[in-house]
Amino acid sequence: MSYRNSQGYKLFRLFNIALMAVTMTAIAFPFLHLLALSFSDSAAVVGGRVTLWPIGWDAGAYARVLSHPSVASGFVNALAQTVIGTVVGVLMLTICAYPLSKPIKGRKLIMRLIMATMFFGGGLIPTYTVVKGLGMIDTIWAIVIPFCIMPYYLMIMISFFRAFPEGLEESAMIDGLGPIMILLRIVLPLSRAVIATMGLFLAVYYWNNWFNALIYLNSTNKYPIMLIARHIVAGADLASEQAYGATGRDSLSGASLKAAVIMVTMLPIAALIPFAQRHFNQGVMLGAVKG
Amino acid sequence: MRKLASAKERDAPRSARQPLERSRTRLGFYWANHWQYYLLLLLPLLYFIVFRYGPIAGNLLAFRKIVPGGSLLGQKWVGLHYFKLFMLDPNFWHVFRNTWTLSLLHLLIAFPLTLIFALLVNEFGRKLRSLIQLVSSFPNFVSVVIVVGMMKELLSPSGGIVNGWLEQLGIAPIFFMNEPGWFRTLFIGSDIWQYTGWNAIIYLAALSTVDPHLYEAAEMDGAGRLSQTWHVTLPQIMPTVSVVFILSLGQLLNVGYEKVLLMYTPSNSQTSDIIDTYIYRIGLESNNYSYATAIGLVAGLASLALVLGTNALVRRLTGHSLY
Repeated sequence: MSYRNSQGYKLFRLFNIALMAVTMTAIAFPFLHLLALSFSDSAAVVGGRVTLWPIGWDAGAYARVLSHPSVASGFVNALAQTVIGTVVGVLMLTICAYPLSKPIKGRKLIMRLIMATMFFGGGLIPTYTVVKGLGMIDTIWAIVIPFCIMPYYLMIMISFFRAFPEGLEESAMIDGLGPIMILLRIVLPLSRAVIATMGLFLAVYYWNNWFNALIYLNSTNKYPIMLIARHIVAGADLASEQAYGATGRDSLSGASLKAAVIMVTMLPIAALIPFAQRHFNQGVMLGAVKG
Repeated sequence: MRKLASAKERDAPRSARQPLERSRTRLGFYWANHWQYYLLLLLPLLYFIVFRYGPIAGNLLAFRKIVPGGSLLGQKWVGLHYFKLFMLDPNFWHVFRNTWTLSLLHLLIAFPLTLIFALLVNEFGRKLRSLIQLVSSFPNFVSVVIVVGMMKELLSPSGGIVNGWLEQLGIAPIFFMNEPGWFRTLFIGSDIWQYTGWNAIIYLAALSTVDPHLYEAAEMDGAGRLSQTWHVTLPQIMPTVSVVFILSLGQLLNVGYEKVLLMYTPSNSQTSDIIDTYIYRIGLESNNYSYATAIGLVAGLASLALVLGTNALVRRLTGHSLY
């Protein structure tokens, strides 16, 4: 008799379904609660009456957040850093991973030296001094360049290129194409899944970045949105009121303003995920199975 | 291996050796076909030399004293001065203990929980499984700034929903984010909330490759679900589990310092101050580069030793290893 009909297994199924339902609720709850807060009017927010549904629809918090000058500039800065970082990162990953997926001389040594950096880094201060020594402080390059090749992503990419059907490249080689042309014309067009995956990871990394901006940027007008969000949301309780001036108090509560900031900064990522989901499942699995 | 082969070649009888000229053209042939690969590698290798190995060399700073206005790499050698300094620094030992407590607790709770979560999700059909994965991996993509911001909102003593619930139960408001006693719970709890779903993907991928015939065979032998999990599933995904374990031990000491920095307040510093935040404050806020570098170097070496040690241990126990 199969275990599937046993009493114990049925009980387990029931328990498992209940557990997953609770887990999913616990994961989604903070997002939904803050979404509700951001759209509620201040009386309901202050009174603590909002749970999962907005009370007294009021989109004023969004109007206030979006018209705030440093939110707008933060958005533009973050967008620039994300786009440039993602393009540079994908480019560097590709030109590093492709040769290393081929049996070229010195490959093993190079791989070892790259792998080693996964386990031993220079540390915060020596990295800072290198970036400073190169005169990159307070420029976008300090955000983009020092972190553009992540060894773990490199490994995923190398194993993707390794699994690439050899015949295609061989026939191109017979036609007289060199490695670079083969990469451009044959390999890249067929590597959309892994490129989309790496692009997504890098875009998320650069969009969410705040720490590097904190230590490498000095001018507030270059701050990305997450650093602005940190000042507004994770800063002192009064920060939002100071940032928004005295008028910020009249009808909007600090809580719905903060909730609106959180929602606005999360929006681009939330919009990206479903779009890239199909690709990254394939891409991640690839890296995952390899370990 | 290569050395061995070339030695063999050298010892081979003269007649078997390649004439000098032919081996040169062979090398020329190799370059003619492969130079483009090396051209592509040029920029990435430069990156690794400057931004990965440069900072490693920059650790020399730990042995040198910086004079204001002088070179970034210091002016004179001071030997182990800064290492002695932190060995005698009570603050260092305080953050050292905090780091270890937080990291070990984190590993002991998060590591098995992720595996259990993956095993439970694996019991569902394909459609439900991908829905659960979509929902549970979403927080992974959210910035820690946002996660800490959400915690502050939800847990706020004035108007936060959690304290609202506590109030209904007749419990006085708790200043969660400021109390040293709550810091570890909140840190680990929010980490589990944020990363479990995503980290489980690697196990789910490994689970999907287990041969169904093995389950059929086990079922023929009368194995229930639990013993199938124990005798079929776990041994099959053991290589993946080992690799994840070694990697997370390597990450043990540098677990989420960005989040700690965001959650840090002077009033919870008793439990929230860790080595990385200490390095940040000593190095970048007080500009004591050399001292901070010395601490960072020791912490980095400890992590490295941890990875190598675990790798050796896991290889001996299970036969699987990272390299």
